[in-house]
Amino acid sequence: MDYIFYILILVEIYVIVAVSLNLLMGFTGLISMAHAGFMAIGAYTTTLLITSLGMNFLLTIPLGVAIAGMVSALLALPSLRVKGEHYIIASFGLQIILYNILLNWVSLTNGPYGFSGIPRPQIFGYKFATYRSYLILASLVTCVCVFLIWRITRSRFGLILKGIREDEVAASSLGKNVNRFKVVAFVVGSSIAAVAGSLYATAISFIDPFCFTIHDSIFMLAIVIIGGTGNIFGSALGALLLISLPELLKFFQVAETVAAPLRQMIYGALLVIFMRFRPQGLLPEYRARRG
Amino acid sequence: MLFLQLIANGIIAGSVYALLGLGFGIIYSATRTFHFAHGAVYSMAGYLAFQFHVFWQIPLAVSIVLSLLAAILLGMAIEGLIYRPLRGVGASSMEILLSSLGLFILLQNFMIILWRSDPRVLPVAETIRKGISLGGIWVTSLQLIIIAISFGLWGVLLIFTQRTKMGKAIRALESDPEMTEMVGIDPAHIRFLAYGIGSALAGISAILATMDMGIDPNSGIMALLIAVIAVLVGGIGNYSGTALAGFLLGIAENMGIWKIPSEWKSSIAFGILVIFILFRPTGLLKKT
Repeated sequence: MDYIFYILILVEIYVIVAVSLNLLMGFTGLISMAHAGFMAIGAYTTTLLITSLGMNFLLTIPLGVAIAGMVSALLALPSLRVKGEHYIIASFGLQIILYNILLNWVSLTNGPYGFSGIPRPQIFGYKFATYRSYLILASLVTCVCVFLIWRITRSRFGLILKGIREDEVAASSLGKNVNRFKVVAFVVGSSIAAVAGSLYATAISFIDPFCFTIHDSIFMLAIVIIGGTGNIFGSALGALLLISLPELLKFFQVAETVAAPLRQMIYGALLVIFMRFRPQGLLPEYRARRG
Repeated sequence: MLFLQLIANGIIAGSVYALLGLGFGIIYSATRTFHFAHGAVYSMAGYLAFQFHVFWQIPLAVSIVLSLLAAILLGMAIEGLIYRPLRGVGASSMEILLSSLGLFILLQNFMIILWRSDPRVLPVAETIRKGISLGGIWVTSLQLIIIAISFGLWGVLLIFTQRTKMGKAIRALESDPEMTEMVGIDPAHIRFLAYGIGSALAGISAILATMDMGIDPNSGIMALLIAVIAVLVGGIGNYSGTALAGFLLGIAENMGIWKIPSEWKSSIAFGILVIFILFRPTGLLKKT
């Protein structure tokens, strides 16, 4: 039973990841390859503040979000100004740098060893020690994040983002500062990934740089694509499928050295197949994208 | 002396980077496809050369030719089997990019299963691996060969794109695909040509790097990052700019090691990209 709770917690964490990435990809048309890096910022911020300062878990979340927000603004402000795909490579590079920092700034991040035994959060004297209780906490946080993003996409701001995605020139001719909207969307989407990181660190109780590589960033893109860009429920479905189905591999006797690359091969193939035959994903946006 | 040695090391690394940039650059500028799977073509060539020569005992020269042919075929197959049908159904450039990313992951992990994660070095004769002193700077004959090949191919590519009919067709496709079609050049053929040349360049740089330093599963993605940065810094469609940017990246990385611990090497290339995005988004040499 604990195993199922554990998987459900993981699914919820990736729902936050996918929905926030969908805000960038589906609603603004921006691809980020640094989403795992922003998740890492949340995970490491929470871990360091809890273990070294004994800070309350709930207080560490906004701090992680703030740091991720600042880093994403540093990336987005210069690179979104340039027309074209520069910002994708900039986010790719940022992901590599964040990974390098986790790996090499040993005095802060403990380098390749990471942190183990991260304590479970304690709120008002109640400790979320079991998977079952943690699931409740994770569900609450997930609901808040998803609701927030859902509201953003339904707001005037969200409509303008969609307008920019469809036709930048038209949006700017209506007097919208296209670049500012893009930067804000990028910062909001990226910083919410930090919330998922905070949950991840305290749920698994162990983090190291290898949890947040470029491959994880690409995995997150795959979740959004397969679920359906521009559809929040699609992202949730994508997270459920792509997190839980590979667990089935455990029931076949596959060696871990083969199972890990095999999992990646499967989602790589899914990306190719979906782009070719169902680019709108499992749950499409409310209208067809291709005529 | 250390300074000159670091410059020399930078030029050696830069030679491979320049080839990487030229390979990605010709594909990107001619087809406007963000060919992430280029990184997988790179690793495939390196690993295959190793497989042919070390595991199957095929003579080195034959192994190199075979693995280059495989790289060219792989690049053209990706264009023909993946990108072309996508363009046919009207996929956006983002959709093609994501598909390429998926393909990269697929091929890269396939290679990890086949060849494990250990670094592989292509063995070459000891005589060309031995260091020689050029006025106090130590280089190996192999490294001199790498530099010569890089400058040679840079020249050949310039002559090809400026002087030959096919090369001019590639540049035509760069500037105006519709017009190119109108004057009777089939864009599909030119795209195949660009993928062939670009993949050959990726294969050559992979084999040279596998001889000099070795290849591991991470090499492909790092090679891709360097290639893309060289193209963006050098200016899209500007081959001399791209090659110069490759050398600039190599020299900057090696000069960086002087003051910065070598673990941060890959961050230096990215730093250069950011500086160019901020101050010179059109690239090193403005396109004429």
